[in-house]
Amino acid sequence: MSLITTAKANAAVPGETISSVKVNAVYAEVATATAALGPENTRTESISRRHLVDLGTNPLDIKPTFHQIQTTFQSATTLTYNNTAYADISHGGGCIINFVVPVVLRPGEVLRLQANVNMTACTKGVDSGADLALSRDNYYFRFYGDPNGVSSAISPEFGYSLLSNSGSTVAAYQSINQSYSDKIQFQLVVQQREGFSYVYINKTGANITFTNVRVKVRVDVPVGAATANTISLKEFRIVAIGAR
Amino acid sequence: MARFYDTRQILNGGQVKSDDWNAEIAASLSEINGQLDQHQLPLNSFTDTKLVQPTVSTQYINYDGTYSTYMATQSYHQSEWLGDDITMLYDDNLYNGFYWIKLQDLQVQALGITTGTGGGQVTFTSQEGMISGCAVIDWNWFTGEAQVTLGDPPTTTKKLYGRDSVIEWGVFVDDVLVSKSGFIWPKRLTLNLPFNLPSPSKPVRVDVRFRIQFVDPNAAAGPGVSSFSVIDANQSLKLIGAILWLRNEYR
Repeated sequence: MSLITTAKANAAVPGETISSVKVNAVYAEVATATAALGPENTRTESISRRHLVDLGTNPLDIKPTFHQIQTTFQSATTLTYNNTAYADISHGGGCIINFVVPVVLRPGEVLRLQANVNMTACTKGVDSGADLALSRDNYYFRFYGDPNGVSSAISPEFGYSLLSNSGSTVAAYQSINQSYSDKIQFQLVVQQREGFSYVYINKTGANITFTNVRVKVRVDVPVGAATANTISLKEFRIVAIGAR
Repeated sequence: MARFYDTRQILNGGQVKSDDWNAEIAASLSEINGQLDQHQLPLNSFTDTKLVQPTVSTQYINYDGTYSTYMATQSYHQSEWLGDDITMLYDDNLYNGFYWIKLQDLQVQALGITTGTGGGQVTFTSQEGMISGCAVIDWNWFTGEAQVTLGDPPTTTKKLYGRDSVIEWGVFVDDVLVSKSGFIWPKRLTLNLPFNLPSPSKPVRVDVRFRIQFVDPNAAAGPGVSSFSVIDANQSLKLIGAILWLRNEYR
């Protein structure tokens, strides 16, 4: 509010008896001004954390410092993936969060994302002559969302390899089963729970609305006539928090 | 605000003098005019619409790519790099044994400070509270592939000569190690390295570093090896992408 500047009912004639009109006028000013208290009316740091409506335990509540926190997870089913274009992780109900209330990011606000997916097994694609399936041995996860209704990637992609010598183009080297990091010819490593995180900042000057966020997956496009490698995914969890 | 007591009490049946009334109302209004404090505000009452909007700062965007958004109770800071892959070999000038190397130094060396940085360092103005965040680094630590001739009669085999070499990643806050990955053997991996620490009220620099074990192919022959040649691929570190983000939660 603007500060109350009229603080005297009858400043011109000190000692005079106050009329009711003048007193009422001051009260009216006070009533009007105090209906719109603002930062200039308070002391520095007068508002503490406990003044915020943030003490409820329901994670879906819309709160002063974050919109809501939602998570989706499953640990029961498994599905194989060998798609070379990004596709939804669709088993177990899907690695997706459909926000109960759409998250509206005002300029400068943040959507914080964290996820992990467990790759339980992998299978080499089929070689074709000199075209080797393991020459393209990576697989990727990526956060997608629907900012303002447009489904699109909202993070970089996060890459992982099947081989310890990822990117090798020679069959003799690819088949050397020497490293503990080799997933497809594993000695020790069997399951890989890959975790990744991202913060999506609204860097525009307008609101951005999300109704869902999800994790998608793909494998490398195979070289030549070889076929793509296959990965099996099981447990996953995705968490989203809108921060302000 | 301080408690306010009336000083010129108006008695029943008495007459109100303007001086008395003015003094009383002025004292009360002076509290409203800037002295309201925690005691006047009901707890658990402020909704999001009462808080100030975030203030965005790109003060360090040209230095290390930091994009900052300062909010009412916290701030978020992010730097990311999705440029061309950067490859580091055993003879790189930055490599001097198994010691920490700043990721941003590798980026600057490869691409220059104006286009190469991002994801390796965040600089921002911290407030007292807690800092938590993650370094998310996408890289490929490649074993290196060589033909080795050994034995008598000599036989030639292919060998992943860097298979036992490790890489380790760490996050440093003002040059203090706050999080590290432990040793990781060759593979491509997106490492999600979280960190969490108390924060001071001052400018803070958070940066990502790594240390790495290169095998010098010129000295890799070893006992009984008559020939060692890297004919296919050198041992290398390839940086593919980097994101560094953090949250500063105020006290």
